[in-house]
Amino acid sequence: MNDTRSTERAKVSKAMPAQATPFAAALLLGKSFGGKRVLSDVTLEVSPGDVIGVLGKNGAGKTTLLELLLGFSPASTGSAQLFGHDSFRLPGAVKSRVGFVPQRDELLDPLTARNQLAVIGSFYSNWDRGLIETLSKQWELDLDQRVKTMSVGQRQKLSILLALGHDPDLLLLDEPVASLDPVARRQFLEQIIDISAGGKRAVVFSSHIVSDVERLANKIWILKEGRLYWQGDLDTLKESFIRIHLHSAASLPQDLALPGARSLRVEANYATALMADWSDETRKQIEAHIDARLEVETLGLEEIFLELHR
Amino acid sequence: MFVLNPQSGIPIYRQLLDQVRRLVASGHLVHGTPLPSVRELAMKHAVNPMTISKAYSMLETEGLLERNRGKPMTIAKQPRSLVQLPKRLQQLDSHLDQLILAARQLQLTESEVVKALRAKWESTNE
Amino acid sequence: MMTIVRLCWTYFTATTWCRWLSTIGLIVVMGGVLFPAAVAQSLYLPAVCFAGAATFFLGSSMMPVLFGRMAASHQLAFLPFGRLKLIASALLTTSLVVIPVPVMGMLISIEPFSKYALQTKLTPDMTFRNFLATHFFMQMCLVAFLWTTWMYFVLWSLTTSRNALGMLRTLLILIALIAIPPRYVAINNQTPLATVAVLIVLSWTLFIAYFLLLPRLRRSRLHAIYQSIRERWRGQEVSSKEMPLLLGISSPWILALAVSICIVLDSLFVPLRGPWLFFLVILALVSGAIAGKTAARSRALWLRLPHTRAELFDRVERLLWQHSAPSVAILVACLVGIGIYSNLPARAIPVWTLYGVPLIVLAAGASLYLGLMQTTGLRVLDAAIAIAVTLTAMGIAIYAAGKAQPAVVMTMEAALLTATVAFRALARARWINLDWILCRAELGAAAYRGS
Repeated sequence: MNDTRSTERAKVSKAMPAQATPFAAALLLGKSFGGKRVLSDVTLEVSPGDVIGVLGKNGAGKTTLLELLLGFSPASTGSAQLFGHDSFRLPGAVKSRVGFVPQRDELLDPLTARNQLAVIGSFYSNWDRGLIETLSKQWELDLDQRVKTMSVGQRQKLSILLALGHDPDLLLLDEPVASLDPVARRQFLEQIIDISAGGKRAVVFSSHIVSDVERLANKIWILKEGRLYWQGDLDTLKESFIRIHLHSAASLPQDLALPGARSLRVEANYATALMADWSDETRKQIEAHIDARLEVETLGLEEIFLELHR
Repeated sequence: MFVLNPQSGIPIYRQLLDQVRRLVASGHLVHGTPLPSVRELAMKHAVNPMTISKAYSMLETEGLLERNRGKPMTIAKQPRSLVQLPKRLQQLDSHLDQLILAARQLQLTESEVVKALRAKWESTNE
Repeated sequence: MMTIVRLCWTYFTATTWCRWLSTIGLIVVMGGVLFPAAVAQSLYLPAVCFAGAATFFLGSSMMPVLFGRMAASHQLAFLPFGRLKLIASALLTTSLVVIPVPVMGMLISIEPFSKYALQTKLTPDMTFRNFLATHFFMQMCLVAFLWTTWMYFVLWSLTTSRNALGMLRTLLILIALIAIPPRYVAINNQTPLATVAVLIVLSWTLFIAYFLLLPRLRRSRLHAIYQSIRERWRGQEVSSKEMPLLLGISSPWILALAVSICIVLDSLFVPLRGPWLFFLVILALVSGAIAGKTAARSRALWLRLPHTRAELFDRVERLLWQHSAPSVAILVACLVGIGIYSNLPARAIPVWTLYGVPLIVLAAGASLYLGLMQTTGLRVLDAAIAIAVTLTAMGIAIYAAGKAQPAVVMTMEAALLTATVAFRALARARWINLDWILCRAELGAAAYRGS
């Protein structure tokens, strides 16, 4: 089965056509605040059909990246673009194609949810009131409640609704479900699946809840200390990062050379290592050069994330 | 019909791929059986539809599925060779790997494992 | 004839409020007319009667609006002698409202006065009665008619104003009416009846011309040009109400009320004229300060409006001025009022307003632009500038209120103007590079003016 994996990968990549103008793009994007470098050399793209999960520790630069892509702040180095236009000087027609859910909500406390929706809705000509009604019923959000008295979870649901009403082509969400219970999170997931099903829209969301990312995302960006540590398909990530276990009859050397090994632990006859860029060639190489029984252990996304930050 | 575990180290598309192959090889999915649509399956399991359609595309390329215009995808007619023993055994490969790994960690011998396997086999035979 | 009567009836019963006011007013007025002797003997009943007349007048307060609407409607063209009947109805209504005042006044004052005159043998009572009956009566009629006409004008402005600018227009009309006419047109004044009559005819001609010519004017090319200028000034109509809400400047009248209350409270303690300018300037500075948080709050508008940052600045600036307008208008009105009613010599009033009005407007403008400059939280330089501007404005106020050399005051105000223009340029430059990561709501307004 393992030898057919590479041929399968080749089949899949042949099916993907070349993309037109990406929905969002960053080229060597960097940002500093008062001497402190928050993002460095970030190069990435968002194409229609992508659902991108952004992972990173707190302070890794996830929020800054999203805000730079949206033009809230100018880039210190490099460029950030939306639909082919510089984000900082975004033209009006393009702005209506974007929806954003910020980490800290920007709701007006004295208004009711309905009024809040009406106020924001008045800025868009294609505001879909039917969708808002349907979702607010589904998500059990009382539209006549005052925002001031809402719980954090309800406020978050309202913030999400505010971003969906104008049917954006590109949706960026910064920790959108951090305060939602599992039921609400599942409903949100289903809504994103619904939105992204056509393959014409793109969603980028940052989240700590790795299980949600595993369900939803087809691409992953991992930010570590302001750098884009890894970006690509989630499937590729899971297939590339594995843990191997070596059991040998003889004692294994401490300086065991394993191609692409990130961490290595040797204990007499046993060795374990985290391998990046795992492939059939790597396996063949190891089996050829090391006299030991090789076992491959696949890792879930959370494990991979933890290993990358060890 | 399928059991998908998003938290597994095995990508979702691969899980689906393996399960469809297994079911076809064992004869549980016969020629003409319709599969759930991409959207249906994605919503049911709360996973990205693209991963489902990726698996379906690959199965179609392999010849296991066939596309019908306007209707859901169905199992294609399989050559007899697919249901032969070696291929079917091949589907068990990853499970055997895991079983052996766990047994070794627990420091069980081969004969102990075989004995347990036989016992289990018998008890689930009803 | 019936049409005219029906029109008048509509004016008096346009809304529930109007109906109640008209009824109560009419009853009180009838009481005053039918029982003048009883009223004359009491101390407060005359006041009640005149209040009743005022209530009756308020009952017809919808007349200007209805008149305007009907004058512009197509139906008027189909009504035989439509325009004439409409004008007649307005004249009739005004007359109905006006007549009780001189009638009551005469009836109430004639009895005791003539009794008194008879007793003291001051004047031959018949001539005096005649005088009262004719000249005094005529004067009361005409002056009341003129004043009622002008009050209708104020009501028209009030009932057709839809936003802060409309309210400002009303306020300015009120100020104009308070400041100028009482000196020249009042009862017991030297103005000859002929002048009053001419003013009445003039006012009515102007109003009628405005209402009847307006529809034709609307269809003209001049109006189209005016509309296009207005469109460019106001931008997109669709979000003209929601923008202030998101920016936190949606209730200019609360600020205006606060300013008014401050003025009222202060008037109890500050009798002198001089400190008033100082006080008004302080209030002007405060009224612009709300601009301090708009930069941070405009973040919510970035993705929702098609504007560039520069266009956003222009729009927010406009909204802020609209927001300050009522307060500044009240301050200016107060300034003018103080000048007139604090026994300033007639020549000093223009100077008082000449110094004071620009200073108040400049103070409001300077603090407005200083607020707009707050784009990255507290900067030491900004705080220092704010304090300097405050002290300068206060200094000018103190100097101008005392024995001031015109040239010096003009120079100081010109300097303040230059500074305000510079602040605007700086604010606009900062907005063009506005960074909403650095400009967070928590850091915004609290840092303004070092407080």
